[in-house]
Amino acid sequence: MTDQAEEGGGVAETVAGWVDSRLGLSHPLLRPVPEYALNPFYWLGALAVVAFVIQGVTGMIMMLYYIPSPTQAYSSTQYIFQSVSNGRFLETVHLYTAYAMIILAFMHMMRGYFVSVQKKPREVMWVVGMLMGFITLGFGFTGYLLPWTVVSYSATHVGVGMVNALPQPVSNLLNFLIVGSGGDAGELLRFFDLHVVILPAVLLILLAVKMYMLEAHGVAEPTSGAGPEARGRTLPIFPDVTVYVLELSLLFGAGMLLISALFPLNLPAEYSAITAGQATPQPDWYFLWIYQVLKVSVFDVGGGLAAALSVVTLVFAVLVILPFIDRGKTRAISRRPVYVTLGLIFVGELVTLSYWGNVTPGETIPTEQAALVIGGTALLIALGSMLVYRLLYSRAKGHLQTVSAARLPRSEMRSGLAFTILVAVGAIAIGTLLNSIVSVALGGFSTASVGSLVASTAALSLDVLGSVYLIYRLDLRTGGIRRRVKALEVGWRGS
Amino acid sequence: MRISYLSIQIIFLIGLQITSFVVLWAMAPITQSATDTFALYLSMDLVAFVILSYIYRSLRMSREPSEAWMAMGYLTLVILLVSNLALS
Repeated sequence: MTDQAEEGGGVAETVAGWVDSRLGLSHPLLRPVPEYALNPFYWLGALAVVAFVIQGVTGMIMMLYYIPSPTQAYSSTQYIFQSVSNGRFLETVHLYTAYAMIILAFMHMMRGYFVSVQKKPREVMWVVGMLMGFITLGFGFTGYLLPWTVVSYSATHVGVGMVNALPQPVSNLLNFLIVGSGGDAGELLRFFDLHVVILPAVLLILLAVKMYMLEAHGVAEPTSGAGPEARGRTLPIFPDVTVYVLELSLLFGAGMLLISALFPLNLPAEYSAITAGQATPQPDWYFLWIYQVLKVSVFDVGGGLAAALSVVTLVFAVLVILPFIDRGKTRAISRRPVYVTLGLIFVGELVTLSYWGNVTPGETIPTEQAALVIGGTALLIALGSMLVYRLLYSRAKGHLQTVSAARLPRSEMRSGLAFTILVAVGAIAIGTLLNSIVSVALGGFSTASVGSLVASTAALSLDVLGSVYLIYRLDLRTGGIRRRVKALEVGWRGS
Repeated sequence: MRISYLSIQIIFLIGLQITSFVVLWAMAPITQSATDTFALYLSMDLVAFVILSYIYRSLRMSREPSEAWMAMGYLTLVILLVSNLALS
């Protein structure tokens, strides 16, 4: 470093030193952060908090104008849009950072899941994080009603309808908490109170608890493990880590500003009995996957809604208690194929159901179609995951090891290609088979349907046979299709 | 030579921040296009600050700022500037 740089660094150092000495930022209240944690993936949760802060600031400004009453909620929102300086921009930033907060919280959770941060001693941190995630969804649910537009009112009442379908006394309790008995006015006021007072307060308490535990346990090491040298290379929280987080936060803020400027929000029509009759009730995108599950025709029967909600509740419950289910000690992705595949299926299903829900508003989904899409997605992801594991971690000699994809020998590429073709053919065959079954069931036997049924069954059978043969002949050591798997040979001879 | 080049960049970024700050202070974002300009100038301000703090952090850790990251930062600034000009 030359004198000029030192001079430049000197001014910055002087400023940082002044701030530090006055505010005591480098006082060891927070533990130093390992250098390997200077990676955006380690700070997704922090960025979600930044989004929360932006929402707090924009929300407080909007609260100066907003009136939580059914007769004035829409007109006061419209006033913010049209008459307040930067009002529309403020509303747009508020909404988009709320979306960003949900996406960041989800990414934070899934990143934690894939790298197993929930394992000992961070089990309770995971549970607290999950509760924070539910609060984040609660922000979305309660905030959506506040503008009192036809879209927001209809969507919220889809959610309220779900609450009513829950068994007693849960239904009554939740109804009392979020709706009350004061009609629209009482409901709007409750949503407003929850949105601006109760949920932020609970979130801040949970954040403090989680931060305390983070300080106690420290940042989780990389899955490959951090050697003593890497563990020893730490950075003080101020100024190094603070400046790094500031950089990420400002980039995030700049991105939000840019998106808000490019795609400004439009206020939908006000809620009224007439406009409500013309609108199709549809929740906001982050609840669409739940709504899509509820629209499956199998849940149309009496008690079906409660059954569907039980399925969704089960998914959430499994996520909460995950650290107590996944008790294995290993954190390496290469050694957790089942959990990693399940995680990928979960993400795939959420994306598929959400997109599907978006393109089929208000439509009832036939059960067989739902089974095809949900099952097909899971099957494709599972097979893709198996293939990737087989290709990347195929050097099994006691344990799985990573090999660079760039160094894959030709034999492995051939195996991969063969699997890919089998997966694609299998997916098409399953789809055609189910279609044929449905057309036979609904329209009876015809030449076309029987032909399709026979052809797809034959294709699927051949595909399954081909897959089994390929797996049987695959050489685990080289990835080539040359000789039988040792384990299968032993099993065969043993029997 | 390399460091004086860095000093020029620092002076340029601070100048850009001051300019965007003055524009932000002076403008009255009433119309939608004025609001967009406001948002883009504010974004430029933030990105310039990010580049500056990245340079500071790199020098503090006795590293050369990565040319790839710097180039990306400047590219972002150029995109924001061009968008601003297109809007106005």
